[in-house]
Amino acid sequence: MLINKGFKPKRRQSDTDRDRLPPGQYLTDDFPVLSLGPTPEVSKDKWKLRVWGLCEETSLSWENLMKLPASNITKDIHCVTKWSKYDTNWKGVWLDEIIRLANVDDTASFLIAHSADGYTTNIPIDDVTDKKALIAYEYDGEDIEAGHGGPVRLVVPHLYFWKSAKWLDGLEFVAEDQPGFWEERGYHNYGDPWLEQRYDTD
Amino acid sequence: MTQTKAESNWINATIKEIRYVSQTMLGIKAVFEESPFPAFEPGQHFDIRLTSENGYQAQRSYSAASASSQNEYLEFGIDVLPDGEVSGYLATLKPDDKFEIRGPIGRHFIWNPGNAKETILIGGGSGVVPLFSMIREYSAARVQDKLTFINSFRTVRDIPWQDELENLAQENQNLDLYTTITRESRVSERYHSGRINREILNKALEKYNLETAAVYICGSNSFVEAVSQSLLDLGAAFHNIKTERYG
Ligand SMILES: Cc1cc2nc3c(=O)[nH]c(=O)nc-3n(C[C@H](O)[C@H](O)[C@H](O)COP(=O)(O)OP(=O)(O)OC[C@H]3O[C@@H](n4cnc5c(N)ncnc54)[C@H](O)[C@@H]3O)c2cc1C
Repeated sequence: MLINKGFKPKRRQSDTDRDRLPPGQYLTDDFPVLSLGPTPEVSKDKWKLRVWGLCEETSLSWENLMKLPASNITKDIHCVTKWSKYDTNWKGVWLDEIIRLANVDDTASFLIAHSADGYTTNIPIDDVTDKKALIAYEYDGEDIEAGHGGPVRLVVPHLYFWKSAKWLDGLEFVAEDQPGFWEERGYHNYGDPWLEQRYDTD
Repeated sequence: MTQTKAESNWINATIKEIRYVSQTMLGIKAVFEESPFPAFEPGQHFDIRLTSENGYQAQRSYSAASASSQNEYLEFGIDVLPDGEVSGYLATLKPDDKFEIRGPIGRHFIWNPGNAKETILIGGGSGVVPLFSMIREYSAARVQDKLTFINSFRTVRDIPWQDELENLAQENQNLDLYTTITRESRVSERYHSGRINREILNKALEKYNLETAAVYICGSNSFVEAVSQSLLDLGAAFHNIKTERYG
């Protein structure tokens, strides 16, 4: 490994940061935005979540979603572009609820999340069950801004944040893995920040 | 330090030339003496990693600025930020100094000659860097397709590689430039003033078919957001717009 003489951290890292920041990440107080194109306009009253694949096909409206039991989580999030943000607070419905509602089959081993802009991302089913993935509709007690994926986005905080699809409008349950948008374009298929699985050669 | 599989992907870049290409942007030309040249496509970026003597590491992404068909060197354009951890250190380096890179990364924000009859590139500040790679590649390929580069800077002295850009536009009548300056009130008539908005886009894109043109927008999030919304209002097709946001 190359040493860069005279290079020093600009901002002091506390001992907690050392355990809390995955390798190669730095802490930010902002909430940067990354997306592949313009922000699609999705209104609550037109929003629908389609659920299909290895399950009973169903569809949820905003009203339906509001009637499901809600949970609040406070989690650190990690973006593949290197920033991490501590203690982000989200309110929404656990994906487990949808899996139960739609009677998802045991043969389903991957979830493909679909977004209003045509984006997709693939996640193993074990990474979205047992309260690991939230269908979020509030950030920090407010509606999620369009830029950050509102009205409804997925939040899967233990994986790099591109897995947390913005403008969520579809959940597809499949038996075989299918790489999503970034996964087909050079990013890692799984995306564990602690193993620094950023790109497809990691 | 956590040892991850990613470790094997880093290669050493050696600085061949380092100089300011605008008031704040550092142009770094890097060569690869210990490994093959990392082939890339215009629009892609690389990660640069710095390691301190006591093992602290920082990584940041930087887009390629040079033409992809030219493999004598890989050029970066790095805006040196006040108190920026990585950009500030890079600004202290000299020729023959080394730093680690890996890449190329990303296969979405990519443009190659022949991809579209009409291409619209729009960048603000350091967001113009990947667009320079596209323009340089376009110029080297001598294709007949139309390309326009709409760019926005705070002051005239913030425009990087300015002479080269103007020469390229002069040599090629299919390459249009439209530069607007946001923080200086009196500028030469070669430039326009004010932020890129719907009126400016409408005027600059008169000769273009917005429904079919390929559009690439790069800059800060607020820049990308404002420009892409204006273009959609003017009739650009949602799925023809590719964006890259630097945060
Ligand atoms: C895909 C991609 C491509 C990119 N390509 C380019 C490119 O071609 N050229 C380019 O110039 N940039 C590019 N960037 C941005 C680049 O990766 C870096 O984010 C940028 O150079 C800043 O890094 P830095 O270490 O110099 O600054 P940092 O140390 O990260 O700081 C950034 C700014 O925030 C301030 N700051 C940070 N933390 C604090 C704090 N705790 N308190 C007070 N102030 C703070 C700093 O003073 C500085 O002004 C790209 C980004 C992405 C995601």
